[in-house]
Amino acid sequence: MTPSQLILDLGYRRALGRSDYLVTACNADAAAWIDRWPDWPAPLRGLAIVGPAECGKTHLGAVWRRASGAVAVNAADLTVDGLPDALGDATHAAVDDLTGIRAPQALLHLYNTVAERGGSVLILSRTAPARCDFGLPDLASRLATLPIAMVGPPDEALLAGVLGKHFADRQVAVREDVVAYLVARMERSFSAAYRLVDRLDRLALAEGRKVDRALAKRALADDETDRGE
Amino acid sequence: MKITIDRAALLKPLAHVQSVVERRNTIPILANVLLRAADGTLSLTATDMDLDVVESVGCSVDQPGQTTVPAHTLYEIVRKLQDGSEVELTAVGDSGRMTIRAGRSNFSLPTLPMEEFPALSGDTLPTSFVLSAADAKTLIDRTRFAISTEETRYYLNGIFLHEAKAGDVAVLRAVATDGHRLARVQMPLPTGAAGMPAVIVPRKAVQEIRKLIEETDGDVQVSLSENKLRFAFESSVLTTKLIDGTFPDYERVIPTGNDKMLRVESSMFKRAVDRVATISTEKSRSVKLSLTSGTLTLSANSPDNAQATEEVDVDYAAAAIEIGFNSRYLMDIADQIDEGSKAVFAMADAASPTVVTDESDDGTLYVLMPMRV
Repeated sequence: MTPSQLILDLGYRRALGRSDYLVTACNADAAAWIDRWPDWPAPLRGLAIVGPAECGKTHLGAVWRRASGAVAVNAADLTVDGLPDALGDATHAAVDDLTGIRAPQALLHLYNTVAERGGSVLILSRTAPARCDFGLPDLASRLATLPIAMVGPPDEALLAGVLGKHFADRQVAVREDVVAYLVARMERSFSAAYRLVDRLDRLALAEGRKVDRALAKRALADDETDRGE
Repeated sequence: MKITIDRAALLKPLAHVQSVVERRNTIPILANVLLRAADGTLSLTATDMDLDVVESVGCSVDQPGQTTVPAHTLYEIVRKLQDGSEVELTAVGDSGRMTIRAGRSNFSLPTLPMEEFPALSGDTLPTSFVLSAADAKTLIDRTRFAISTEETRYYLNGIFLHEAKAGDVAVLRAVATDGHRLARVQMPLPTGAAGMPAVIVPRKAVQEIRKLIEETDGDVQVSLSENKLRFAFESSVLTTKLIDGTFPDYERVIPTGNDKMLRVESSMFKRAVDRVATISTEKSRSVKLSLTSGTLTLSANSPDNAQATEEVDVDYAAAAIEIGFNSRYLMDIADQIDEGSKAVFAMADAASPTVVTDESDDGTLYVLMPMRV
């Protein structure tokens, strides 16, 4: 085995401002819904944004929370007992990663509480709420009333933009031709964009070199190998 | 402008300012040093647009004035003049030339108008405090070896200087990391530094500041804003722009629960690492540390089957562990620990960050990531 340098997990901060959210045809609908708030359909002025992993749902949620003052709740963390603390006296709530929910009853309580307070609920999910089986008809019927904004698979322009944003978030300077090289050869998905940038960032840091075409080629090959293609 | 100055008195400030000037310049004026003579003083200014140095030196001013001439050429001329000679610099009106006379040597250099010379320094910076030269030296010397040299990783290309809390004590901290290792040094926060902006001082500025510190024993006046930093010495002032980036949240990579403690005399350790690493390839430079009770075995091997081991008696009583490191990083850290003092390694496992401290200095701390060997 060739010795390899491990790297410090220095982390990075994602830019989550509205102007940091790149909009093309595939996500324009979701962005427009967020921009339109509080002009969402009554009675519960709610919305579900549905899209694949890493498509920017959490980003849009953060934009909306800043606009609305909503609390952020991860669906997996929701419990009936913990709901009062999680919600506090907030009027609005954004529930991230709906498919990870473990206590659907808590979500039903959250929904009802927000409705009583005249607030809004934003649901972020990889799967349309109607297709989630919570075993709780009351919750299913409520979620079914929410309008749905879909984020579709990324087009080339958005993929390039998303790669550029991931690199910028990590403060890694990368030439445009390297981004174009990746776009032309990578799997067309948001999660692949995240995965490749993460791999390139780590590789470059471990080897003390810049992200260039040669490194991009290696990252693409390693990514394919890891995914068993 | 016409001045007369001792060659040695001119050479010293010229040496400082010319090192700021890049060898290759697409903007001609940046290759020049700005000379200003007035009131018995010659001031010399050089800049690369990101940092500038202004030096002042006493001289006989026969005629006040100012001009700019190629910095490296002027430095080389003065350097080669006979020691002890008197140097006469003369620039007449719009002649476009400056003459340098010393003894029987005569030179004439083309000048550029001083109006073209960019101004970086001069503005007032809101935060100001005083550091002793020794403290300034410590902040730089204990951290600069860990600055990243990968240019595209711009936010790691400098020393992060900021105010922090160590327990209840306010401290001034300098931190640098290249993603493989991290160096942190802290000292009590100087008066006037409270509320200072957290800044990243670029590597080139660090190097130039360090050169200037070497030649002073006195205090250094440090001033800064969010985008500029100034170090003022007795006869020189360096002003630099700061790196426009966000330094990582470095505290997250400093482990607090590592329980495998190794104490070893640092210079002995460094020599042993150096010997064993002779076998390691230039590319990886890896060395394996195998620790059992009271004994450290250093080992290395190369792809062509060369091998090396060395045993060192150490203070170690925890469970046995094998962990690989880049030998150069180990030696860089050992270099920071005073001769005769012990380095304390706090390890967790072969894949997690190791913390290294100096037993005799609680102000410094290093974090080192292992190598997979």
